[in-house]
Amino acid sequence: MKLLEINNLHTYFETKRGLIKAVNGVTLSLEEGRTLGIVGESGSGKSQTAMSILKLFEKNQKIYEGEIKFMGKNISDSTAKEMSHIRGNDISMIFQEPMTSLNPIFTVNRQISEVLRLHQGMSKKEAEEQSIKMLESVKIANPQRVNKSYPFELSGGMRQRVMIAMALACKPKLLIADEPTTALDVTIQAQILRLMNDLKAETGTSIIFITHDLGVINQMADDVAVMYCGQVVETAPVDKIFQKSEYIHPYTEGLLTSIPRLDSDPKKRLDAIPGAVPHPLNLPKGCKFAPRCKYATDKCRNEEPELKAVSPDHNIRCFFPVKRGDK
Amino acid sequence: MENNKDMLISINNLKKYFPLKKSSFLQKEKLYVKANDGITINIHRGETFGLVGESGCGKSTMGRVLLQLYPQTQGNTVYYGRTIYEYKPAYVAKFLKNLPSHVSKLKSLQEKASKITETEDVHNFAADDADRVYHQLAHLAGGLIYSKDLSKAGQLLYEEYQAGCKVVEAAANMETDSAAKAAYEQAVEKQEELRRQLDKLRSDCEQNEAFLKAEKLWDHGIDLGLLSKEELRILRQDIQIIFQDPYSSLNPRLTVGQLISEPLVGHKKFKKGSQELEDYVIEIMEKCGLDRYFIHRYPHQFSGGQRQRIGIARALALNPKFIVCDEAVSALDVSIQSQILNLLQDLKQKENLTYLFISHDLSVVKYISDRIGVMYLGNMVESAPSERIFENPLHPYTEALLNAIPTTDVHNKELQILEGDIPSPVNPPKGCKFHTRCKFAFDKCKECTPDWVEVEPNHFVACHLRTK
Repeated sequence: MKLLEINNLHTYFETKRGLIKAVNGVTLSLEEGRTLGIVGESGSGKSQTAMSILKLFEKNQKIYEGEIKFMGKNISDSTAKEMSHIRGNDISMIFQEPMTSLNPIFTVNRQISEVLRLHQGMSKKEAEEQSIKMLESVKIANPQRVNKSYPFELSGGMRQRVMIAMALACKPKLLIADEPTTALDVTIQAQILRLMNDLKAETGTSIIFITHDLGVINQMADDVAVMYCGQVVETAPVDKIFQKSEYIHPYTEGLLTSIPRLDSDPKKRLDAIPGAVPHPLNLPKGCKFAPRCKYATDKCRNEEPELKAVSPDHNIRCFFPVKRGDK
Repeated sequence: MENNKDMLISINNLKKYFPLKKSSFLQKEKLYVKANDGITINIHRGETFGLVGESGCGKSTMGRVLLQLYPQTQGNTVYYGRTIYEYKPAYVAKFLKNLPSHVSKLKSLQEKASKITETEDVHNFAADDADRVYHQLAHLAGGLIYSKDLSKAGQLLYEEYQAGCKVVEAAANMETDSAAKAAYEQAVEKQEELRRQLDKLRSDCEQNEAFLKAEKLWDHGIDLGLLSKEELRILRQDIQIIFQDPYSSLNPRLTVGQLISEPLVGHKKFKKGSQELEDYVIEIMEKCGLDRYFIHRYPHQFSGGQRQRIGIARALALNPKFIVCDEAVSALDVSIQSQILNLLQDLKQKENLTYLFISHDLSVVKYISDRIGVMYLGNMVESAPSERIFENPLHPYTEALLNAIPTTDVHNKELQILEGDIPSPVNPPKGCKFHTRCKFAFDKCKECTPDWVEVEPNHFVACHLRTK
């Protein structure tokens, strides 16, 4: 069953200089119990897509078009009150920087209990017990002590564990993780990724995992959506993105070849994608990637391609998807 | 010992401790954050030395101590990009003229140090002091610190140093003045004569192990730790740094042109506002992939990747020999990251640069480096040529680090987990600092600090498992 369906979502910022189309026609879907990985560079709209699901908006930000269906119900036009029932209860979110997303002046206990008391109506005491249980479940070595600590007393990895415990406190159906390991060291990142995978297997929570790191996507995701300039340019199961498909979007290909890899030849020059992501107020006509694409033709520069299926579970937004060599 | 000729920077027992404020008035012991705790490496001309490790392991501190942006607490940093004859730092004359008193100071320090090992006082620097002074003297005087007639040795060395300075001066004059040739030949002859006298003095010394060891250290490198502030400022045209964050490392009130010309004017290479300066700035900008019409723009008008190019252009402007790249690509998006890596590689070849490339991203470090050093809690735990580190990691920490990187290989998804957090650098574990997280740790690891051993050519490791 589809847990989440996003159809043609447009989220814009109104600024003095014009409309910033942060999310510009995103269509995505997530099956229950799976992990959807969203990759893209900064400014590709991956975080704004996540924020749109929870309607965590700036004052000048609004959904202009499109719908978000969560468990069959459209939540894109829900009121603030309805949203606050969903947030933290059915859908919760983990952010990149655990220090800034935890409140520095409250103990861990108070912050986890808050969610439990609000959504589950627990008493102070019940909430405290549950809070310790949650800390245990995220494999914190000394949950009693950590429960009484303030965020500044914890290391980065511990803080992220606390964030995960808090996000999972109400057993949400969907967990959105926005670059949860980007600020962490590789060894700590590996711990957190393993923990998230273990918890997913235990609780069956679906995950939307947002990152710019293709290696992390390979670890975590079942399905992948590649975003560029507020649009989804490619969706496919993870294996197809990294290896097993006949076709690939030129941008995805560029991302894969431009990163230095542990098994790549160090003497070879990197196949960098030229140029930079266009400014959101000044998006190119036609395909958004055309100015940086080495395969671009006049058609690409004038007409905008649609997201089209190249095989049943593989969609590409490109007139001329790149045929993969024998790999 | 490696050949000193192709060495650019040599670091010996480098320590950088940051003192902590006393938490209470009654606290007796003074506490330090041991950011660098005894690092010994050499960086060769034209190579890229990659430095990896988790955050807080002291890799950035090391980069900055190399440039003496932080004064080092202990140890020696010797720079071979210029000789003392060319650069004439003030400390050389001071040391050579008073050689006897310096050597007696060294002896008293060594004596003090030998007593301390018995009582095991950890917070006493006597052993480090002795080692530092020994290296300072040995670099200048070699085995002659053991000479019986120290004042004569000092005098001769000083004369030889002055003669050497004259040779360099005369050689420089020769390019403009053909008459200077005679002066040059005379200076060379004088230097050779003095060197013969020094050789004689050396043959009088006892040819024991200590003498030969000190003799090997004798070279003409510049000890950065002994330079004055002004001398360092001038020398920094040779050694530059590119910072991680292109947003905070550029002054928002200066235009690109002003940012790049600032070091050039500061080092009196060009006159402020001159046409030559502008031409040169444009040349540098184009070398770094910045269009010439950007010259009057401010940093906020650029994207992250272009700002990093400005940072690189500014570092390159003075024709440095050595650049510390401190997480230079970490803040950039993947597609921009590869552009900057390519640029750094191209510039290295064109300008014959040497890099110290600091990053936490092992795949980037592997791509760009010739040799890699792995750091943990202020110590170097392993260093080897780039491929060897990946083919044959010998330290358990290096192995754990390699296995924790997520790859895009669909067949090999299992990450190996290194449990636990990095211990505090204020109070690091005794013995091998990694033993608290190491799955192979045995009793010895908890007690003794492992030695830095060369297990195969150019492959150093500090681990008890490899030195049994």
